[in-house]
Amino acid sequence: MFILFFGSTHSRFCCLHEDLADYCVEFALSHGASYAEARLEERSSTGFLLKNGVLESAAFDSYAGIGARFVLQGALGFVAVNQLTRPSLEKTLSTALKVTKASAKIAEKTVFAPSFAKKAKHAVQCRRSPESVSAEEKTSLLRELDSAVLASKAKIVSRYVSLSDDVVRKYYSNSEGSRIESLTPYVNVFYAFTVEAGGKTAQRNWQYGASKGYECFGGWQLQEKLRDEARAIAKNLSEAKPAPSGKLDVIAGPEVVGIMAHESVGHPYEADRILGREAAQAGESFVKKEMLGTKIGSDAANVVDDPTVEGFGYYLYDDEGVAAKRKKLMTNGVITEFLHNRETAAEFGCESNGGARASEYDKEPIVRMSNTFVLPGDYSEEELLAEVKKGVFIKNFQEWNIDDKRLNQKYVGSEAYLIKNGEVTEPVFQPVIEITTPALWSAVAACSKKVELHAASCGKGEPMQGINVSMGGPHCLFKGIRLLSK
Amino acid sequence: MKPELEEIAAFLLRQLLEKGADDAVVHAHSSSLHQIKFANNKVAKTGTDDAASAIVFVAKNGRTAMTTLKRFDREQATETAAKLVKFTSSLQPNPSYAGIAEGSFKYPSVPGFDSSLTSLEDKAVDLVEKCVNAAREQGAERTAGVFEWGTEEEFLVTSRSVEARQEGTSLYFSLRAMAADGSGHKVAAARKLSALKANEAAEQAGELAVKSRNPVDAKAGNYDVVFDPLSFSCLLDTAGQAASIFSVEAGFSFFTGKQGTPVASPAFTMWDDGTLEQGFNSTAFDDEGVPTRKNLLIDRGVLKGFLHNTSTAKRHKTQTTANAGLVAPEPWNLVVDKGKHSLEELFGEARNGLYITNVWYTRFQNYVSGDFSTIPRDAAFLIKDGELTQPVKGLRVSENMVSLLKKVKALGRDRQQIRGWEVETPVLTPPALVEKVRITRPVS
Repeated sequence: MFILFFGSTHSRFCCLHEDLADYCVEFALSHGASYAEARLEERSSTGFLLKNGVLESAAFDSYAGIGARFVLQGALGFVAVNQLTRPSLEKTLSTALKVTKASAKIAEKTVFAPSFAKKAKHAVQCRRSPESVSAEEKTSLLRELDSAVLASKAKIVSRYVSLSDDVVRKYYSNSEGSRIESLTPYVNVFYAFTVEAGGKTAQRNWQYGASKGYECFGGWQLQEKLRDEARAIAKNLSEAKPAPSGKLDVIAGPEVVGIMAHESVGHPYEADRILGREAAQAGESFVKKEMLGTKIGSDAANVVDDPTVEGFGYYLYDDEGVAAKRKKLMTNGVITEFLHNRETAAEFGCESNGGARASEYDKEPIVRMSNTFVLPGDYSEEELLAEVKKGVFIKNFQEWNIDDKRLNQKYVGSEAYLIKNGEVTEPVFQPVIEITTPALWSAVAACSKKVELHAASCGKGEPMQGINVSMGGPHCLFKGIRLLSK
Repeated sequence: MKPELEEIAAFLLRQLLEKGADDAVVHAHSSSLHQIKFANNKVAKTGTDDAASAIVFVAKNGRTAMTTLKRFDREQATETAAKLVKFTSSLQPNPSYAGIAEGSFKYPSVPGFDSSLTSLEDKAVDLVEKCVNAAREQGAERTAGVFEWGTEEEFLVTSRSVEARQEGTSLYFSLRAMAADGSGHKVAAARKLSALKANEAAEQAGELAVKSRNPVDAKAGNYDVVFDPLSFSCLLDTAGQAASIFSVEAGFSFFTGKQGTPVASPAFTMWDDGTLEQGFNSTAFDDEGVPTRKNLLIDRGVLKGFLHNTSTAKRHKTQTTANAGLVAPEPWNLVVDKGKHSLEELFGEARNGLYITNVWYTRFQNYVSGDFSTIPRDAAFLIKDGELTQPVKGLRVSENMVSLLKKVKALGRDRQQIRGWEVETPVLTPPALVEKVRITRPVS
């Protein structure tokens, strides 16, 4: 299994720091707070960057910090400290309490949905912990990826490959009695390269990540992938015909399906957006509270967010101490569940489904996705193709965006091919899907059986919180989508 | 900065040199940042973040590495120095590295420290309340945003005779106002409270929200677009990043291979200025301790040069522009030369015109070619005969960044400093009229 529960002999927390987290809670309560919680985070990381084959950056880091929230006279306060001594905590907390108290006269009265107090310890088991892998081996892994791009024999005009890892230990404590410890490793690869052919250039930027140790490299087979991607881009630049435009069938690969699920299902279903709490930052949502139960997609469209599956957005308890669970966001095209934290759940009159996350100790937990994906169907990839007389297969993409209500979105294909009579044929150049959310999800006709998850960093909040997520799905057939030519 | 933090930073530098470092930099920061976040006209959260840390860089035998020091005591500093030197020795050489700046330097003081920010609590809440009310008085139904203020102290020592210190304050205000299906967003940034135009921003956001109610779907096509400073800054932020030589080398710059050639219209001049008065990111020195200055990037449309640190400058046979970043040079504050026109005059020059007040989600298909799209959000209007007419929605700017800069026809005379959710580098810019901008929209 992915998860192992560890006993006291495996606990690697500094007890002094745990005590300080508990002290934060006590201090806030003793100064009038009606609720308090503290998150201690101890993180050790390394990072390496290879630019055009040169190791231009190598770094390691380790830190401990505490982020705490409290409710004072109904107002919500947040505090973050990285100098972990009692005097330092007391000074910062005292200032924070003062600001929050002053704000109470014009503050929203904070109410949290009930949550059972939890006591739990869990750690992700990994065969090759980031801390056990040498810097030499990590830089060798990077060199292998860089060499793979060159091995494509395509004309590569720039290469950028980075590798980073973190081991994150968290201790969560709140005034309702929850005490939760967790230990999670992360490994993250980002690459970008530019290919030139036929007097034009094209780029590929992508990310791989896992909540695991370095054993993840074995499953990724990145050398083959990078080499093949560089070759495919060169071929596309040299041979691609203009993408057809007009109403066509489109088969989108898991990378494209994943970004669609993330952007136009995950984000608009975040309850804090629906309530307007992120209006000045990541925006609001075309989905309203009363739209639960509304059908906006086809029967074949099923999307979930699930932190408990193996992915870059994995966790078992959220940053409010609520147990993680699968959220069925869209079921047979119907809006069936939103993403909640305890604050939005209280507003909606439901229980939190464990969607509160903070990217680091010094950020407040807000409603976030984890691993968001389209559920598999019962077609093989070949059967999906057989459904298409004339269409386009979009394997991956580069440019994409969506408006701040999550209704108007665009995806520009990178590696893409024409489909004729059920066969993938010649490459086509940058097909463009520019479509509304209901039109997109209503066009889903069938999905294949095999799901792929891809790692990403999702941005939300102010200050910006980039957080580890996965997104993905199977290959999906969209019937009668209007394609544009770049 | 507390004397003990400076003492530990200097001690750590000595430790690194004793352990054989050829070059070393210790850059200590201590900050206290506050935020009031509001939504639906009420405070949603207040935040206080106190942090201290030091970024530590070392070069040894042609290898380079970095770490951070978070606990300021001699034991931790000694341990960090030993670990960093050992880590560096285990790496492969970095042939791109060509050294750090040789000091010592004299630094002009960067104006804009506001001691009142150390105890702003009640005043900060009052400011938010006043601004929310100001937007509502214009007819806004709902408001959301943040007010942030903070103080930061820095101390930098290097193995090349640099010893530098500074303190600074900063303020940022952002308010989005909503009225039915209309919305407007404005921001303000400064280094002193007296220079922060928060109330003005709130009033303008409220006014835009009301004016932009009942938007209709506009047609796709080519429009003469007047970009408000907020929307123009979102685009220029990407130009600032593209001006770093690091972006050029890494394949993230649409200015690659274009030095000395036109990359914008003759109406457009832009520089980077680390010394800008009230500049949100103004700093007396860069991450090597080189005194910052004004660097011309685009002069009447022609790309004059890129942003460098000492190491990248040596490789490219030029001088540092005082924009270190020890790995990647970064812009400080982008400044666009002002034009001669009022906003109304820019509207008057627009044929088949569109006024875009805000954009977001700027994404590139290809950073080198500059092909990108971005989405207008908040108030957008058609312009007819020099007047704002119908509010519009559902648009997308689908363009090429260099082509767009070359189509700048005229600039306004009133500049605003913009820092925002999608504007990482502060930009001081007027509004801009850009001809024949390609606008697309979703099809069904």
